[in-house]
Amino acid sequence: MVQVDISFRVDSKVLTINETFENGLYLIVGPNGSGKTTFLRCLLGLHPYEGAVQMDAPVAYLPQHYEPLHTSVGDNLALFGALEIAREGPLRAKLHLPALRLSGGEKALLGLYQVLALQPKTLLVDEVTAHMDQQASRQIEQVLLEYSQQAVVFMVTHQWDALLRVQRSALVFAGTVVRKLPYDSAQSLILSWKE
Amino acid sequence: MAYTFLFTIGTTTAAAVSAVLLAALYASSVSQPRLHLSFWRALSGIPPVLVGLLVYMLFSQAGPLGFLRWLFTPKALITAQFLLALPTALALALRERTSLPRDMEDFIRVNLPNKKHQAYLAHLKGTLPSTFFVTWGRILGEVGAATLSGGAIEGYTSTLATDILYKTNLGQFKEALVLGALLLVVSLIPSVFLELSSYGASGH
Repeated sequence: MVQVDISFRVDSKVLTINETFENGLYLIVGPNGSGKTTFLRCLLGLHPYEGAVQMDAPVAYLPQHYEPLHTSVGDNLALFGALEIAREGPLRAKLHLPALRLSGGEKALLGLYQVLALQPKTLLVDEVTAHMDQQASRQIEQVLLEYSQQAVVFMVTHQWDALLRVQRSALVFAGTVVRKLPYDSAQSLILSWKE
Repeated sequence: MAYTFLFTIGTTTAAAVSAVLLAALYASSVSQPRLHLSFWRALSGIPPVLVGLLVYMLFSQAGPLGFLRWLFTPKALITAQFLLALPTALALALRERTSLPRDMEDFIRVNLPNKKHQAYLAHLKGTLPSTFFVTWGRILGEVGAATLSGGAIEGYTSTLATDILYKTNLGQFKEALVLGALLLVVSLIPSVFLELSSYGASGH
């Protein structure tokens, strides 16, 4: 479970969030610069805030600009004890390759395997599907959906259609208002923005 | 000539490997790599003859390490080559360390709080070969430090580069040219290797 009662500054505005999150996948949506990534950084103690955050440990984080370390795919996985997880997935034939040679989708999957191997109770994932096609995005979302049965998973995304695919509650950033909305309300709100 | 060739390869490799490994350990341990980078990058341009002078002063009989009796032995030569290679290796390793984006620094800090050192080492691992070859190239053809520390004693501490100088001074141009060609070939090996590995890494 994650309990958040915090205020933090993004540019010139102050955002206040007071919400409780049970195990599950929560999309974090909102326009550019609305404070989504800053919110994750607050949870991790990487950005100043006032208030209190309670998160079940261990906490894992997959950042927006994730890049594998400059070594092999296998070494990247071994560092997190994630070799076994990857042996059953699409990376199994690429363990000896330099990780920088992976495609964008494969890199994201590598990062995901790494953090999942830590078996976090709270998982923060930031824009990991930003430059992926729908199929690759769906693959990542499916992994997160399955994992969210045992943890609180936050996933920041710019892809509005991600909400339609996963059909889960969302934390919506709209101006100075940040609210946790059930799927139907979040969908209506986002569709109204698009219009 | 065969001895000089093998001696050059051996000492250069020993010095470069030691420098690269120490540099990797250092770069993965420091918490503010950017601050260290400026210092070591400045030092990497130090004239080799000054390194030779330093080693000479250290190991001469009146020097603080004179009791070791290393001056004009392969050990003093390797020490000089190591000291010459170290700032370059450190600068390259630190530059690689600072190439990690802020997001990845956070990724390591949050997910691997007790294995940060291993993570940074893993990150540097991919660049060890290129760092090795750059430092290797820096000391391979160097004359000043090798002469002052090793004495360029033929068949004992002379390297390809010091031997070329010696033969030229004696007017033995044919031998000097052969040694020069050999040194050229050896010095090209890193470039060929780096080209091939970067070609492979780009996925072609």
